[in-house]
Amino acid sequence: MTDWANILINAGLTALYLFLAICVGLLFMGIARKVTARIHNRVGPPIYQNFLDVGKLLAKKSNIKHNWIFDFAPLFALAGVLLALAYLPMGGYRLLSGDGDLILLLYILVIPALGFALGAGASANPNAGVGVMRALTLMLSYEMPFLLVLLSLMIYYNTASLTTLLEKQMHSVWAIDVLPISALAADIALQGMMMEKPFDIPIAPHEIASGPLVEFGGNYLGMLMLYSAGSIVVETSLFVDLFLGGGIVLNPAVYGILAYVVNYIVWFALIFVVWMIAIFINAVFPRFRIEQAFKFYWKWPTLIAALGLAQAYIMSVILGVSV
Amino acid sequence: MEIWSAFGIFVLVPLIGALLSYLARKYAVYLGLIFALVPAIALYPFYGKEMSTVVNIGVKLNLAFDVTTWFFMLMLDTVALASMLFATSYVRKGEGGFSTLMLLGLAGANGVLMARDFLTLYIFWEMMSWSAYILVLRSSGEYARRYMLFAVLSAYLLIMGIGIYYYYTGSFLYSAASGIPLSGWAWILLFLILGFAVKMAVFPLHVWAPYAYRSEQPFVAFLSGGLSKLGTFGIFMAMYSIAGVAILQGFGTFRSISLFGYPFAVLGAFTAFIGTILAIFQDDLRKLLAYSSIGQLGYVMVGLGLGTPLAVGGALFHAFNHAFFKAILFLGAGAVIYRTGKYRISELGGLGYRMPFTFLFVLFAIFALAGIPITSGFISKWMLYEAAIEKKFVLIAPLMLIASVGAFLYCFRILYGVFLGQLDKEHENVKEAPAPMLAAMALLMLPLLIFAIFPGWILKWINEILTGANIGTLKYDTYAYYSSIGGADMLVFWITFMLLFMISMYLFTRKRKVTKVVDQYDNYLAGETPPYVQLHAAHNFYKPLRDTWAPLLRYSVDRAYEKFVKFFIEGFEEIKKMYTENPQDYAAYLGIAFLIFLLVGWWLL
Repeated sequence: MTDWANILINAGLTALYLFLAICVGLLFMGIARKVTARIHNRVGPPIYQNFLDVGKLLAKKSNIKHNWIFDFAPLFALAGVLLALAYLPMGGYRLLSGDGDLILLLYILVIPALGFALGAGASANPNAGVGVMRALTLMLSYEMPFLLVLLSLMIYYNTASLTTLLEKQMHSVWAIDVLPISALAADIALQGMMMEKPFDIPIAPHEIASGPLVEFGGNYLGMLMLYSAGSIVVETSLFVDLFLGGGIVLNPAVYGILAYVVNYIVWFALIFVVWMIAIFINAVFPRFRIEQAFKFYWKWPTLIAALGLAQAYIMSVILGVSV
Repeated sequence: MEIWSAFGIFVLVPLIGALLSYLARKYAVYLGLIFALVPAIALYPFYGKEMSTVVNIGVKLNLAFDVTTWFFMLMLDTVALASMLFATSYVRKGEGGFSTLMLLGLAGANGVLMARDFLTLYIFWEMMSWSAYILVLRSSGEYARRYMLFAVLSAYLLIMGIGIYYYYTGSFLYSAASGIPLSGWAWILLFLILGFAVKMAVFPLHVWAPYAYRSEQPFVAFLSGGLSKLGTFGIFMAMYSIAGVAILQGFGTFRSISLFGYPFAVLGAFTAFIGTILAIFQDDLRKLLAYSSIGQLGYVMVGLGLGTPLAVGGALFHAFNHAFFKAILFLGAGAVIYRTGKYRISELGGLGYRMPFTFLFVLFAIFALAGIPITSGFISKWMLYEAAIEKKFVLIAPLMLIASVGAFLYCFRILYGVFLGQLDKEHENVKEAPAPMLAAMALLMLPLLIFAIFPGWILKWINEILTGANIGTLKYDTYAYYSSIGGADMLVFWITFMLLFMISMYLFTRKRKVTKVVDQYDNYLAGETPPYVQLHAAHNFYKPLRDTWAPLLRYSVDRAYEKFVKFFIEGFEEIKKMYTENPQDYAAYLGIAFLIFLLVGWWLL
């Protein structure tokens, strides 16, 4: 009996955390618009603007679609991003009792993107095809440094499990203190992963009319906004979990429920900082062309990430540091 | 007695089928289907049986049947069955030849899997190889020569390995391997692995594949999905059954990985990377799939080279997955080619709306290829990554990981270029592929789905193979699988995914809404309303990326081989000029030769 009660409580908590994550994502989108506006010396919309937008879009009575493949996009995108959120520790709370494997997470992250790409491709609009092509090329670009970064973490901490990674960081220092070079490379990769300028090439509103998004409207666009809200949290939270100890300052085993609340607040502050760094860069940079982005990523961040990997390798394998 | 029934069912039945379908050409494809069906179904009662015998047909054929044989037969015979099923509505000319050769190839392949001495292996290997050559020849014309050259190269390499083996042991039996010095093992294994690697199209022996895979698609599905796994089987047998872990470790170890296997693992990782990068830039659907095949089998090579339980298990699992998803992809390409007659990705487009089932099967295969966790394709890739990461290999792991990101690129090129995007007016009336084709693809899809939910079932078989070869054991249960550094539970994954999918479904269809389905050509085009124009953006899809890679793409192994060939042809042309048809010249040659002999003789004496 207690088993079922536990499962139900876990499911409820998971639902709460997922709901909060989407809200945080929407809030962050609003904040980003406001901050960007202020940097551009404009007034900008209120920070709750995105809640209004999503509400309006989801409430639309009439929608337009091209064919049945079109429906793949909203369904897979939202389900996939929620799944990724469920596998990511948020503020130290591990939603799924799985081992939180990093490689599994890496591949779960692809599900929403692939669903989105399918739906986008289903329209005959060439802008969508070009946009997806750019998104995939960008992915190949930033994954190079990002995978090296992940590898340096996995080698240094000798684990592929996100949960173990967080525990090890909790008991010693945050990974950014021991592997700062990798953290730098990861943050550069993160800019591309979040598709903020100078890497907003796939959606490039002035060139290809928002790229993959071009044919979506109404209900579809609303679902996709929820997806992008979720993916903001996934991406920033991934960085925080990898390098900033997931925001865990109090050990839940000792402080109980208080620890969860405090950790959640710290986690929120940390992802906010990561998001703001991305937004500040976004507000002042022009856009790369896609081949420039590819060359950039496979040159400097890859070099930095390789240095970080070398550091982790030397420390772990040659010096025999074990955490 | 039982081994006789195994030999009868898996080798003799396809051989009889080959003979019959040669005689009864009119019904050849259906006969071929029946005779491919028998071994594919009869396989299941043979699970877990271990037996061996010697068949004397003038030469002694040492045959055996164990779980390794069974596991490889499972993929080969199922893929062969699906290919024959597909062929019933695909092959329209020379059906007799087609099913005869397919069944000969199947018999040869099953014979290779059952052989337990090198002579038997070689006989069946050649049977398989030659029937495949003639099948390539049927439609590829002069390019078949490339396949034949490499098949012959493979045979030579095998013979060299076998010869050295015989020199040391005086026997062709696998089990006679004792008392061979380490240097002898090095040469034997090197030749055997290279010989089998030709079949797996490992870089730089891969150049035959893109040409051979242009032949009739049902055969190519069998060649890429089935026959290439014989290379995997051969390397597995050579390294872990004939030589064994102890001898591999005897070469010295690097983090408990054999120094002999490690270079092959690196070669495999490079193959994965190069195959993927080349696949991204192909416009010919069949060539794209060929390069993707090369890349995926590179992963298998990594696992076989590393040799830890997780790595070899991952390699076998990935070979299994690859057999099925690549066969679906080639059959899907075949269905598209059958309906439209086109194979250039940029000339197709929008077929997903006309061929929805083909699209869904191909989509699922692509999920497996890309390693999306809802298919078993993820689990095998995961095993290979974790195998490399837990041993902290910083060269192999990134190459494999980035190659799998590259796989998303070419996967989407197939999806978008062929099935999504604008439907060409010319293809307005394209029909769904015929039922046998769909049935063939559906059959192949099943294992990919089942083993994604119950990975424990297949891992049990793989574990039996691994323990049989003394490699070690895997850590797994019915739904979950673990490495020393991580693990994943598919049950949790599936339940969560289903629940969350339902939630988004609910959010999406929460109220009664009016959803208007508009014409495909009714797009946002910045206020322009052009008349019908071809807007399918699939031509040279990854142009920016291609431009960046252009300096590196200039180097090609293919052209290197061609230059090598040209060098010899030109050399021989020069030598040919000696024949001037002037008797005085010939007399002069005689004189010169006599002088040289005299001088050499003098010097020697």
